[in-house]
Amino acid sequence: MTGLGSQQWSEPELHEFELPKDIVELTTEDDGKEVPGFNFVNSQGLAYEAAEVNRCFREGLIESPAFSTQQCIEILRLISDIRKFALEE
Amino acid sequence: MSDTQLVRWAILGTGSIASDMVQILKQLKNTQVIAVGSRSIEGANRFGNRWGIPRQYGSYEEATSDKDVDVVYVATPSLRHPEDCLLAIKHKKAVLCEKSMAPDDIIARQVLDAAKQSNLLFIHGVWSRFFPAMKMVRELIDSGEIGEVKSARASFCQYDGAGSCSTLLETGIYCAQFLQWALGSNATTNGEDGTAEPVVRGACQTIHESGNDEHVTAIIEFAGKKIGTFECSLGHCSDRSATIYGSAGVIDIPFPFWYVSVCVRISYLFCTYHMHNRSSCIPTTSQYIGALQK
Repeated sequence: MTGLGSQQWSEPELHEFELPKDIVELTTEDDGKEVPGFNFVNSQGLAYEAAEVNRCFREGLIESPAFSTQQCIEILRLISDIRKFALEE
Repeated sequence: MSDTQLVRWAILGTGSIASDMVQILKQLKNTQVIAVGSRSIEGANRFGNRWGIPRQYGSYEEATSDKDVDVVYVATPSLRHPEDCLLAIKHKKAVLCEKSMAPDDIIARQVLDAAKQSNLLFIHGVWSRFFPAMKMVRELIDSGEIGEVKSARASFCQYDGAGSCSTLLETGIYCAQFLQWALGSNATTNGEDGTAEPVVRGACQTIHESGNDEHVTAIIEFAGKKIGTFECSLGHCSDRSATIYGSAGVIDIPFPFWYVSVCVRISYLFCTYHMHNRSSCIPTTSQYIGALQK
């Protein structure tokens, strides 16, 4: 090894993604007619999730390959195991 | 299958995330929000009138049993998620449940089994999973562009809500799902390919006086000795970024990694390391001991 100089890095390659362009903040339909906006930052991105639910529903799937049942259980099992591990310490 | 088939949604809950989701759903093609369910009729009327939802129900039971509803979005308080999901499943509805769907894997399995037995779609709404950038990250990994993936890290600490809920379920779940996505060998498939399941190798936590975990760090070993580490907290801040390390490069996902919509930065390592005479390396403990014993 020759210290820090042993690593030579490329210039970073940047990939940028935009939020769904066609999703806007809506005006309410009650008398107020206001535009409350989104409560969470980048909530436009919820459109990807909702569109996937629609796609799966229309195709008669019972889970999404982007987050399968098995993967979902695995995540919660890891969280349970982390709790147990931390308690035993 | 085309997207011409109308999908009719009911929203359970009238809070902040329900208000965001209703705006999204109303803008998707051939998608209608036809019902809202709240624990009070006043709440259902207020939310329903505000967003133009025609059927307004003062109970979750009524909303989920509406015969015209195809999909129920469960956006009730987190502690209620399992029972509200089971209610929707009982009424034969597809479910999108806001995270976290359950406090642990045992309860999650009960809900998922119920959906499966009724042949119903169930999706846990960990929205990170559905961003196109995440798909690209996985494709980059699979293409071998950063060499062999060795490890990944994620940090999600925010100074917000300590004690009000579990940080593991609030922000840790985003870290855990990221590590699974980056290090799981089967992240783009349905799993069940026989690879070893990830194992927790280390964890420590700070518990808030309310009893909820406030600050947790963990080490998880994935198949092939890939190591994932994460830190989550509701009591202090971090950069909320994530990184994947390979033998030939690094994928860097800056804030906000859990809804990665801004950028993914990849750096390639030109020259991994120089092989030198071993004697120039720092000796190992056993070498030290050996030298001392001489």
